Amino acid sequence: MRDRLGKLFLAALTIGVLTAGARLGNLNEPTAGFLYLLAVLFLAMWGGLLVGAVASLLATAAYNVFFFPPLYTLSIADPSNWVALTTFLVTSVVVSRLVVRAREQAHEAEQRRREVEALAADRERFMEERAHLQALRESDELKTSLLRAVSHDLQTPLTAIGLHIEALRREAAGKAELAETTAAIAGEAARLRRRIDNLLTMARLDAGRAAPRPEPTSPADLFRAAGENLPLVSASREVTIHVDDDCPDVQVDPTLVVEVIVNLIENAHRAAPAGTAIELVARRHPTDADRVCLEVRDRGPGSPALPNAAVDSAARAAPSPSASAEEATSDVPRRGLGLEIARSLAKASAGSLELVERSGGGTVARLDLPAARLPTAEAS
Amino acid sequence: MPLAPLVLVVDDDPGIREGLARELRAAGYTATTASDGGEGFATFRATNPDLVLTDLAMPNSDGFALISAIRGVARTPIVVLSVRGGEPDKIRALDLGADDFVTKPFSVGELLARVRAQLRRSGGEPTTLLRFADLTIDLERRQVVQGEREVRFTPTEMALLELLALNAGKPVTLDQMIARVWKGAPGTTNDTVRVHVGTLRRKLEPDPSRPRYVVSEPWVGYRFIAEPL
Repeated sequence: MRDRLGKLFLAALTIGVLTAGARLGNLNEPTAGFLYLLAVLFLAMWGGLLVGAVASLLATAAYNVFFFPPLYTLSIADPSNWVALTTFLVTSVVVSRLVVRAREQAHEAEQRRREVEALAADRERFMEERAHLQALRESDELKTSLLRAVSHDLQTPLTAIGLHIEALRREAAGKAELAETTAAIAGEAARLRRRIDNLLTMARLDAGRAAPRPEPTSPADLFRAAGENLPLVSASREVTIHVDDDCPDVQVDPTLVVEVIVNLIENAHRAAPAGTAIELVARRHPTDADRVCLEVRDRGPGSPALPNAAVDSAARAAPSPSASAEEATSDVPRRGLGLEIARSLAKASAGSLELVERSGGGTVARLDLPAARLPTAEAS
Repeated sequence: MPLAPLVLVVDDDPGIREGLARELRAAGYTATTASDGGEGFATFRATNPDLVLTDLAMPNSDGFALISAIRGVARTPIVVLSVRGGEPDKIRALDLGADDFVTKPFSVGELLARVRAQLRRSGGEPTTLLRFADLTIDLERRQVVQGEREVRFTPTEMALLELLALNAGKPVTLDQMIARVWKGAPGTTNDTVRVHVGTLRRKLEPDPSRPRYVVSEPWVGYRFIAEPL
């Protein structure tokens, strides 16, 4: 508003200055008319239609008052001057309009050019993104099919090895040394199999091929499945299982959590002295009704390399000063991989894993998992 | 001396195929082999085996085709060799008429236990008195004795137990349980089944922390264990 008033004022000033200049310079009528026209043209170009129109009117009035006799009045004596003045007014208004329209069109053209440019840039970006997505999808497909092939190519020989070990075992009956070697091969093959399972599971999760599929699962089933995966552990030491009567089912991907528990039992088995039991316990979370704690408890040397509760890879990587040198060099890396995998898989199951010092010696690996929300049974 | 049961092994991998045949023979069975579904069905027609052990993914003609072909002509027990994460395939195979599955890499002991359970099932006459280790189920009198104690169930639990025990050693899918026990009643979900199996187990299992009769098959359903592994 103020801007427009300012412009109008400047237009009036321009017409005034022009009139004074033309009068002082004693210019004749036609020359003054052209000068006014020029001024209106520039004012319209600069200020827009309103400024142009007001300048036209002012110029017409000034032209009349100062250049057509009788001078200094709005009246006009000669009828031909009426024609001249009207022509001037019409011309100046038309010029203002034309100038303004030309300016607007130029402006629109510029805007359209910018829009087209922006569209072109958008399209280019879109094409780039599409190419990128395509590449991603292709790499995902490649990863998936690679994973399937690797999985098949690893599982098939492992299954065959298992079958051949059975033949060896029969052959070894009554031959102590061969029996021992066969048992060792079986144990290592089983460990290899578990590790391959772990890595394939992680790779599948990573490739997004196998998102975790949670379903209500009873902790007893998880413990049983984990125990079946580790026949050598259950054969060589006592593994007790206790599920609290009021312990809810957990809402987890059973395959993932069984792998986590297997890794934790393996860890405990390596750490705990022979003859001590490993205890598997499931109970309601002490403070959160929507969570369940699954624990693997051992009587090992504890986890001096893990002074803090949370499993932290950096802390674990540092050999503990209190553990024997041999323990530190041979056990820590192996513990590390198993625990690292366990932690990743627990996380994928909306859970968390922590290792805490067990009272009376040893370690408690505590898996914190979401409880399943099952309807209550009908009272039939 | 009774004739040894004949088992047909169908797998495209020679290591697994021959290894399985050797272990089956070592366990007292007679074994014959084929390398894909088509050859498997031809061998099935030629030898009329007592049990079929088949892989699912095979070139040319796969395990699903073999199951369908066999179910078109016979009720011979079929045990499928499945892979980890292959639950949809397991359910599809069961729906086509397979009786059981083992997941690669399996232990020989586990596999032989499944084979024994299937052969026992297919040989037995229909009966109303089911006997398992420490457990007797009298279907006619609706009486269940576990160890020394008589266990009482609700009608739903009893129907579940009957379905599972009649299929002892064979996985029963959640869909089958809803169809048979709840007669497909609307609003019956997998969670309904889980809740009732939960109460059934609490009453049936002598130690609920270590279930020995009813165990879950993730994403598939439940299995009544005919013999402890």
